[in-house]
Amino acid sequence: MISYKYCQYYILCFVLVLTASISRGQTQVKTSSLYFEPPLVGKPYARVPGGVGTPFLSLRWTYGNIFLTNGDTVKNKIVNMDCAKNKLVYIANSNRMVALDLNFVKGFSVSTPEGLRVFKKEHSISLLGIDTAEVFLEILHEGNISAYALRRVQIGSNATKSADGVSVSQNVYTPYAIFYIQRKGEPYVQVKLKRKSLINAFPGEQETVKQLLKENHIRQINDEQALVKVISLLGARLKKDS
Amino acid sequence: MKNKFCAVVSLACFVSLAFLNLDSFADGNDREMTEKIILTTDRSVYIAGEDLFYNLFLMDSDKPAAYNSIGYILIRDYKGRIIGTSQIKISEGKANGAIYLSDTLKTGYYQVVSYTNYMRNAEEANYATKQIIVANRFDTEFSGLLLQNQLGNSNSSITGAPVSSATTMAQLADISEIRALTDQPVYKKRQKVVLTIDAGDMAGKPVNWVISVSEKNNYNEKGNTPVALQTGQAQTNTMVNHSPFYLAEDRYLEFSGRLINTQTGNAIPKGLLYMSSFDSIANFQYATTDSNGYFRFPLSDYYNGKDLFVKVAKPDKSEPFKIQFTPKFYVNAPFVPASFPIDSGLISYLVRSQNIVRVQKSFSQIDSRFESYKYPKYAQKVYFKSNYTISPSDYVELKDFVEIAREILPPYKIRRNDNRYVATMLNMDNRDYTKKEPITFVDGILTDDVNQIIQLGSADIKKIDLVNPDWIFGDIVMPGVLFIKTYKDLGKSLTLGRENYKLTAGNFFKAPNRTGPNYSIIPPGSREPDFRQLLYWNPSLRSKEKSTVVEFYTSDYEGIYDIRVTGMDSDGGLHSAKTLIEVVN
Repeated sequence: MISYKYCQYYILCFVLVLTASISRGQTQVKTSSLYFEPPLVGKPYARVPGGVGTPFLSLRWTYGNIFLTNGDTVKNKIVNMDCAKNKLVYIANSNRMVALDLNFVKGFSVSTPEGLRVFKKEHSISLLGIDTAEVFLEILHEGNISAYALRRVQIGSNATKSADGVSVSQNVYTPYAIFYIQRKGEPYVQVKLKRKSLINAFPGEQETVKQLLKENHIRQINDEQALVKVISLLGARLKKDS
Repeated sequence: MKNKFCAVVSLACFVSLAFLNLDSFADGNDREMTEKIILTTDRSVYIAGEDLFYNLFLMDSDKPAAYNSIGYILIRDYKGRIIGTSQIKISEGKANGAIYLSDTLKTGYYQVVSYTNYMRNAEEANYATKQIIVANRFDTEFSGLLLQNQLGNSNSSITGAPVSSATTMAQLADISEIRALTDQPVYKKRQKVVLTIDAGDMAGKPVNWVISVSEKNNYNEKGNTPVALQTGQAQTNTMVNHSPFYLAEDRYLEFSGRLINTQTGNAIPKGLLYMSSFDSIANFQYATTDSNGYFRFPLSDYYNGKDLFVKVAKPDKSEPFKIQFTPKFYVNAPFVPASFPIDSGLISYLVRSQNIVRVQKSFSQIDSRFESYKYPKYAQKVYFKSNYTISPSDYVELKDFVEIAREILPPYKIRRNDNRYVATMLNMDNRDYTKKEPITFVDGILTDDVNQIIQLGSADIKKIDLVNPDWIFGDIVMPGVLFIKTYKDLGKSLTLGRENYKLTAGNFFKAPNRTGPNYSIIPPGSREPDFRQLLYWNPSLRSKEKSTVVEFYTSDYEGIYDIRVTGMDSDGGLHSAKTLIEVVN
């Protein structure tokens, strides 16, 4: 007589073996397919040494994927973004830093300790009203109402410090973000991390937004998490109402 | 209890990992070829100048392949000479196409062979094959058939393979409960035929049907399966190459070869090859050779049917080298035609068919050119926007490229050095001239050096693009890019050095279904003759209904016609049915 607990073990074994067998059955084609990594195209990137802070999206260079305009994806590249110069930089096999030609890039993602961060390319005219360049928007939330962040780094006035009696100037990098929300099929609307700004972003549904904030006891919108929470709740509410 | 639990879980994990890594443990020694092609042709006897229509079912582990692939089909004669080829994209385990049988083919036995690139890792016995007869349109003696027939019988060392060693219709009948039914057994000329495929127990399961209706002939009856379900009866399906050398082509076509030293015959490792093709944009690919000198270029649909220019960048010209390209259409095993009794029935069939094809040729009723597929194409562009673009026609006429560079291309400098021209380009970033010559493209083709473009003047050049030096393309650092688009496609006539190779990439062609004319809408007084022996060919019918109905019309040609229906269901089951109709005056 096999006890109930032993039955559990046998079932567990069976499931694991079955999973492994299925996985094995699926590997043949993948491992033998003609693999092709699309070449990444760009110019050498020269990093400005020193400075206070960093011009990059994050201090830590992490692996990420680069999505190309032709539909291909280049996986597992060490990627970072120079938010001051608006350049997407990756480290090539030769350890050379390459600033990618953004015409070939549709977006990218980076794996960070906090999780996967995904960025999509957008033309600056639809965001900033100026026809200067193509920029990357971080996708904070996507749904019928989406929230995005444009990460920028401002290069501040030179700070001076004394080293061995010599006055040295260096850049000061100050990161900041501009937030946008977008309803499906509509243009981007810039919002600030303020309750009033968010309410004003929905001129037709201001009462609904106020009621939602009240129901969920959200008095202030101080950070990105709060913005994302409100946008997701609001998206669900407006979808339900429609 | 806790320890026991841990032990059991550990054991389960170990077993799982062992399964997952079985391939690596075995080092491929037990690896089997799981791919299999089922080849079907519209008929078995053809007249030179006709089209051969085929259908492929690709199976993987006895199930329809769930991935995309490319099928290769070739026709060869008894001497092994390839007389026709076709490549076709296999999607959802299915593809169909056609091969034009040249007017000049001699009467004899031919073999249709089909395989995928991945199947080339196993023995050729795994390829799907079918023996066919092709008769020359003007041959009256048909000695080609007799000679080979006698050869097959007299020489004991030559043992002809059975014409149809694979799954036969009879075998299929055991597993098939489908029926092909017509609305009546006898038809008049140009009368509508209503064919119903009764799927029987298969109802509700999606089935890909292949339907062929052609005149009955003796060759089909004597052992040939009319619809050749050749499953490639392999003697062994063990992989010859344990780590696959020929890769599965689920997205790209593999274009490969080997770089060798012509003096020593040894492979050249770490060689570097560039590839470009004729186009209005600068397109580029590169590949490096492995320790055995092999290289591969993945060809996307952009390259379909294009001329490919391969240039060996490393080693340099001081080392004698050559490239041995891997042919896509190649079968090593000899083709020994199976013996077949030639009787008066077959001869009279061939004579009738010759006359019919003559009439059809006179009325241009046989297509020999097929339209190519228009797949979405993405070129591997070198750059998206140039730093500097000029049109020489905007300026006064300049006689050669030296003048063009001097007058209207300030960043590009050409100077003469010992009767040769040398080019350099200004780096816009560091304001210095490059040490190496920029990479030059003329009409998309990568050229050797600036000396080849010196003679091009304003009258020849439509547009010039310059891209900043140190342009990075994958692992290649280009010392600037110069792209020239000419008015008269002069890139094609460039004199390329011996380190350059020119090849043409294969293309994918559509083969329309042969459903015949619709006499319900054609005026009855139409005088165009209709002597079709192939009344209907439809390899792309998909249905999950119990009854699938197709309609077609008989021709002006009296006779008995075979209706053959073959199907593959979504589980990989093969089904077949057959019936006859007669056309009378």
